[in-house]
Amino acid sequence: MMGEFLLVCACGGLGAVARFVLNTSIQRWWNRVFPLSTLVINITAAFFAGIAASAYFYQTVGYFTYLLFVAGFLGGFSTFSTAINEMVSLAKSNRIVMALGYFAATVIIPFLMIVLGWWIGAMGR
Amino acid sequence: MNTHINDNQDTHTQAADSSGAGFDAAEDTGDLRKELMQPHPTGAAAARKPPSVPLAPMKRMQAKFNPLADGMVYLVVFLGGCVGTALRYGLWLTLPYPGSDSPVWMAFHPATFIANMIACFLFALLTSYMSQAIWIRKRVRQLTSRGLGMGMCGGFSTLSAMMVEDITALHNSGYLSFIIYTILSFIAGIAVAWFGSWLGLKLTSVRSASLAVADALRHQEQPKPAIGVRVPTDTDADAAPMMPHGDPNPQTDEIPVVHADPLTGEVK
Repeated sequence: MMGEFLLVCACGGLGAVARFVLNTSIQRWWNRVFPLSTLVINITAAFFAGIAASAYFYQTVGYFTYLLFVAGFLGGFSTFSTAINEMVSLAKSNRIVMALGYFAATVIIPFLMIVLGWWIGAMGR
Repeated sequence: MNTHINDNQDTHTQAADSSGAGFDAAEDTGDLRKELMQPHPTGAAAARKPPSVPLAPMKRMQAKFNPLADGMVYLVVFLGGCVGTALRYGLWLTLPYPGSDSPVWMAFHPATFIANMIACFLFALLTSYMSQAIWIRKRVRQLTSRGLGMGMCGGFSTLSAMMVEDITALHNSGYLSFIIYTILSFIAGIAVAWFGSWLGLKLTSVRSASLAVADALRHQEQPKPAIGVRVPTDTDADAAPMMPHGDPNPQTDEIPVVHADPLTGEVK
């Protein structure tokens, strides 16, 4: 039980490191105000979460694998707080339209990606 | 690009005219100021696309120039992510999904919601505090915002788990609960983050105000002259000090003190 817990935590740490690397790499060539890096990170995380959820739903993988991957790695990789704070800071700097667009993109695109991931995971049933 | 070049040429011709017509000091300094304000690159830098000089290969490996080569940041982000995931997973274990069957609250997972809200608040507080706290060393601020902000708060909050819960609810045809849960999470998150950033600015403004007062007091204390030294007492010079202290927005050409990105609060 304790080992499981620590393994999930370590996977979360790995997810956070992966997010740091991807975030820094995207910000190196993307020098506009729109927070593309967080959006890309959340889209990627949602896609893999969709695959994992459908794989667990159709019993392709066991519960512990699912837990390790979704609660651990993808939980550390995807971020809600950064996205929300980027919306707030965009709104505070009077970029209301961009903030609303970012909000819509953060809700809609990850949802479509999770549906796509679910569909892909269901194909291998 | 074109307009800039034209402006520069105009300034140059004006400068030539004024110096040729006669020695007018006021106009001369005005032109000089104009020239100083406008960058006028020469040589290769004046080209339409100035060549970008790549970093030397050895410098690319140094943490000072490349954030991806900073081993300490990796460690801090990893540890922060571990702690954040431990908090979220622990919360999820202690506060399991009640398994509601109502069409309104089917998708609502209290553990994920609470974790997201706390993470939003802490992240906003930390970001706004670190963007203003100039009394903390830059490296400490950088590592703190990476470890606690990016690592811990980022690992604590999660969008993918929320989306999985959403799609599970949709699979059980809880369409209304999907919409309510998503909208509620985002609206409450924005409100909480707004409050957090306001609180962070409030906390730093108290500290920086007291720092400014201490600074002004220190400037007011006149150094005592040594015994036997006759100090000229010029009341006019005392009345008009060279530098006005306590000016809230001093106009200087110095590099701004705050080194943090105002949008993300990241210290680079």
